[in-house]
Amino acid sequence: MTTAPGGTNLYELLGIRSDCTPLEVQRASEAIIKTFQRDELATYSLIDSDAQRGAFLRDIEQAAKVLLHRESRTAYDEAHGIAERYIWPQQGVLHTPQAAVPAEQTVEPTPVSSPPQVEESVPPKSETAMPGPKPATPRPAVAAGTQDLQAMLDEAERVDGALLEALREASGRTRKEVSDNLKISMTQLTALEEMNPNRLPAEVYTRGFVRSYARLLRVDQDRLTSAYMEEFTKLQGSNP
Amino acid sequence: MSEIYTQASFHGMDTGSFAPKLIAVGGGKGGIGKSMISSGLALSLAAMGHRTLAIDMDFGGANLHTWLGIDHGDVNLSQFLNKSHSSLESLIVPSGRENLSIIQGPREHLGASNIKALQKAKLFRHLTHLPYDWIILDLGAGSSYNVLDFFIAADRSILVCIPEPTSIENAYRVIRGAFFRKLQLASKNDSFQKFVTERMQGNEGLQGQVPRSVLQQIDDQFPELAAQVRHFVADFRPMLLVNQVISDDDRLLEAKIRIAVERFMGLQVRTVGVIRHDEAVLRAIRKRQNPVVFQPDSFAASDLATIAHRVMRGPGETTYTGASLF
Repeated sequence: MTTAPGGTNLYELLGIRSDCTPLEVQRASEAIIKTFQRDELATYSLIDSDAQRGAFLRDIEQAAKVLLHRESRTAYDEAHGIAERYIWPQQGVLHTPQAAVPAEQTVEPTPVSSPPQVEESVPPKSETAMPGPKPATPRPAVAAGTQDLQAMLDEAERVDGALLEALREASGRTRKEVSDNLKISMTQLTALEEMNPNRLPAEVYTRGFVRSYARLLRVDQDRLTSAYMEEFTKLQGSNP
Repeated sequence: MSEIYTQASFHGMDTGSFAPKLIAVGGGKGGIGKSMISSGLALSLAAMGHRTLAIDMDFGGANLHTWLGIDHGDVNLSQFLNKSHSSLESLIVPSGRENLSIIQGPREHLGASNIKALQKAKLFRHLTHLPYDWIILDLGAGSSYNVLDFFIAADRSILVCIPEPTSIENAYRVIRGAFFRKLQLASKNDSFQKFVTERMQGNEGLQGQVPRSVLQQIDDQFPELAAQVRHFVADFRPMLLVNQVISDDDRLLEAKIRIAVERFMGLQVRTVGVIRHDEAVLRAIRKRQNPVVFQPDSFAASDLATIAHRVMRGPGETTYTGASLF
């Protein structure tokens, strides 16, 4: 891995391979954030001040943000001459606009002949690999299948617009595709993903959009919707 | 001091199977189980048929012999260091168990601060010529140069802590201390040495710098040395052992400390396992025995046996990475 001049390699910062999946990026960053909470026994003696902790966690969150999104990650990889890159699922290939989204007609992004390559997909509490040094075999290019997306949803610390966006990107779809598919305007879709309280539609509409988004992504609709709406309510609460 | 280093790298170049492998057990804080673990590992290795020597290097409170049920006899390590005995061999006494011998630590508190560099180098040289498969060094508490230098030079460095903030804090101190010590040994370049000393002593505003950022500064300020320094530092991979684990949260400490060291400090550490809290340990020591001998089917004994296998495989080959945080 190259070290960027004047800055740390983001992959090294998170302790992940440069070709890891969005799920692995999410897991790695969340494990680190969890480890550095203020009341965490393992780390409170390591941190000198809240400022230091804050700065470190901001770096981690920023790194995750760059690496979870196709455009920013691709740009980063280009700029830093990263050799082994994650191959994002092909966009626009199979998502043709449809009149409605009946579940049986939604097509998987790419044929997934084998389960997504995630070393961590074993039952919890067994001795599994933390994000860290991995074997050097190259990985097949696999889109985030339903399993990965569901795992990202289950494990996310916060279910919000950023997560919607991350799930969408991991599944290989552009905003345009989703907008066409779900018959939501680009403005509304952007509002859902950015979670700007001034732009989100009224609750009943937001709930409906999020649910159909979940159905499109083939993740647990109830979980995604109720968790997202919790965040929505918090936002509205602070914006009378 | 670089002599101790030459020996270590000489060792690492696999000069043949007769040189013993050194296992150093340290941890920064007293009373966390280093001697129990040192004796337990020694007994496990001996029971597997390896010729094993355990050396008590705790000048602050030598207890290794008690865990092995041996009386503290006449000969001990200080006699080699004060030159009344010229060879280490003459200080080796049987442990009463097959394949295992011991060199005792001093009876009284030595009072002297650090063992001189020449003494350390001499001790190391002698150690590497002893006819054993494994030599276990029960290091003292703290992170003095005595402890750090042997910790760094060993083939296997086991860093012990317990799920308790002071011991974890001390474990980080050992890791930081080892890092700066490695830096001192990484290059003789004068301005580099000055750079390292300033950061070790924490001159104005330079204290509390994490190793990760010190390494970045080295990339910037000493670009021609950076690769070799990083390689040298990365060569040291302590194996973390969490002792006295009770709850599930305790078990997760391994993974969390590893994240803290690797991501925040920017250094390497491996996890070698946990030893469950077990009353058998207390019952055993009261009989002047290690749990491995006193109650082989106890949690502590079986955890020690598992860990012994991982220690043998070493930080490079062990695939154990600790409990998952997910």
